[in-house]
Amino acid sequence: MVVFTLFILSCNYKLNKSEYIFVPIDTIIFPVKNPIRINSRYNNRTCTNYISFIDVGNMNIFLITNDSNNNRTEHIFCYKNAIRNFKKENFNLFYFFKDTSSVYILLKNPIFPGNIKQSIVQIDSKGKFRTLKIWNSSNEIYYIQPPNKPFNFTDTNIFIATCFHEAKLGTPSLNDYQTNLDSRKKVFSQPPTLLFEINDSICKIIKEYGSYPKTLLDTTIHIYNYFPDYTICNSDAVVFLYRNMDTLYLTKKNKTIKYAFKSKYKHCNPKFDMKKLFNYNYINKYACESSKPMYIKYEPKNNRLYLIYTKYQKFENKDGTINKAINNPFSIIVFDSLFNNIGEFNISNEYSKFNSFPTSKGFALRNTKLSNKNKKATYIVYNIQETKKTL
Amino acid sequence: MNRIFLSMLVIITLISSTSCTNNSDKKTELFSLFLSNQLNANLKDSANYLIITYMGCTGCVHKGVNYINRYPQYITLNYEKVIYSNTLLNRIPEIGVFKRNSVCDTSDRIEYLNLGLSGFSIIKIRKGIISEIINLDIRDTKDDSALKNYILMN
Repeated sequence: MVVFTLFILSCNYKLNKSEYIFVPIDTIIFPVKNPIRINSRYNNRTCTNYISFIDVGNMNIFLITNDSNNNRTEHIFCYKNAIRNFKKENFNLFYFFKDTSSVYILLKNPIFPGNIKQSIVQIDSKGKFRTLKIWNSSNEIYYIQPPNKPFNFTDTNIFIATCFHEAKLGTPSLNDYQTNLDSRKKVFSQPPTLLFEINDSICKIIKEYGSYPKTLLDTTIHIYNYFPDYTICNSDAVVFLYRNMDTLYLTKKNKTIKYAFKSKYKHCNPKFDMKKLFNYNYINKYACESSKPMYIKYEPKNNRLYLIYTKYQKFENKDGTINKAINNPFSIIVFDSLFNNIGEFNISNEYSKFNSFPTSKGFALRNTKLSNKNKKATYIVYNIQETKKTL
Repeated sequence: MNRIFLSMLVIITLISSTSCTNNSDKKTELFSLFLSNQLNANLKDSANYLIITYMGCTGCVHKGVNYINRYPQYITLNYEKVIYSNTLLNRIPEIGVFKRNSVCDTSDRIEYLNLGLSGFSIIKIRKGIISEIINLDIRDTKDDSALKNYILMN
């Protein structure tokens, strides 16, 4: 009887089992050819969609808003004048918005850390700019990093960022990371996350928190783990992704919580030979023939995390040609707010894994074919759809 | 005991030399096919080729290209051909300025050949086979004299 009941239950389970598919639902055509640092945010209070990006060619930062009545507004902030007054190499175009009236750009760490502190430039829509000093009570030099993505939109003056404490030695080189444990400890023993507040003329660091995984302090660590990717969530939380670990690290308040995940395309990567650190052929072959989680992106409206996972591809073809690691195929893993894996979806090679961003509707991926055809960056928004599995 | 050891040593040496030759033969065949199919040229019995691809050490490429534009005589004297890829021409149009014995591989196949090229590379042919492939390393190119030594390395 028990066996029979279990059998019926398992049949029912199979009949009702949900499956998710990744389907295209929308197209976004940008007004420029190569927008970079694209950020999309949805403001619940004003029911407005925001898309911001940088057009490097014309030195403009765009902020496009779409309200619930589909009224579209375009704000353009030109940073040409601001850049004239600073050394060009100090601009990393790490920008963020507090409201639609002005944009803030973080100046990157100078070449000789310790001499000059980082500062923030505020630019309004008329191109006027002013500089804000970064201040913190401990008077320590921070290197707010990595500068590859914009901050969140926020209704408050409080922002979250990740940082490297410069310590006195500066950021270790790749060789240092591997051979000099003390040097590595100086970086990875410090909290990776900080909160700061922007007032009229000052950017004040309020507190720092979280911790790096302990494995980064082991005698040897994998090269992929040196530079984690991260995504800032809308509360005071940051999710870190290490490229040789199948674990997401959530840093929230003073806690760091681990969430393990599994990809269908995981390949057992060989050990990286550190003696060949500057052998570009070896690096390309290694990157080609290994699988790894690459980027993590958070979408606050639906509370989802999107993880781009690079798949293995064979380095050498039969005709003696080679494949390039930048062309490795990839998949996307979607997680819900509790870090449950909703599904992993294979992505066609006409999309770029380096150009994507989450939106309130789903996940936008740059379609290289359409972008070339339209001569404007064209992104296709994909969303997950539930389907009932039928026997 | 000594005999066994010696015979093992001979076998290992033979195996390794055969695999090296095979590897070199394979690369020679690949390069020779590339020359005839893409550039309509034959492989010389003894020559040096300078290959510039964008894949690999991009810093080496930029330094090397600047150098050959300043001192083209070193290239003309020492190299049978300078072959650069189409990707390189798109990324560094200055390479097109250098006309002497240089050729652009419009098919871009050179970027994808499994020869172990990395940016600014020299292929040395001796007795009709590839004897050596030398890749420029950015760490060795602090000044012009280092680049000169590299380019004249034959």
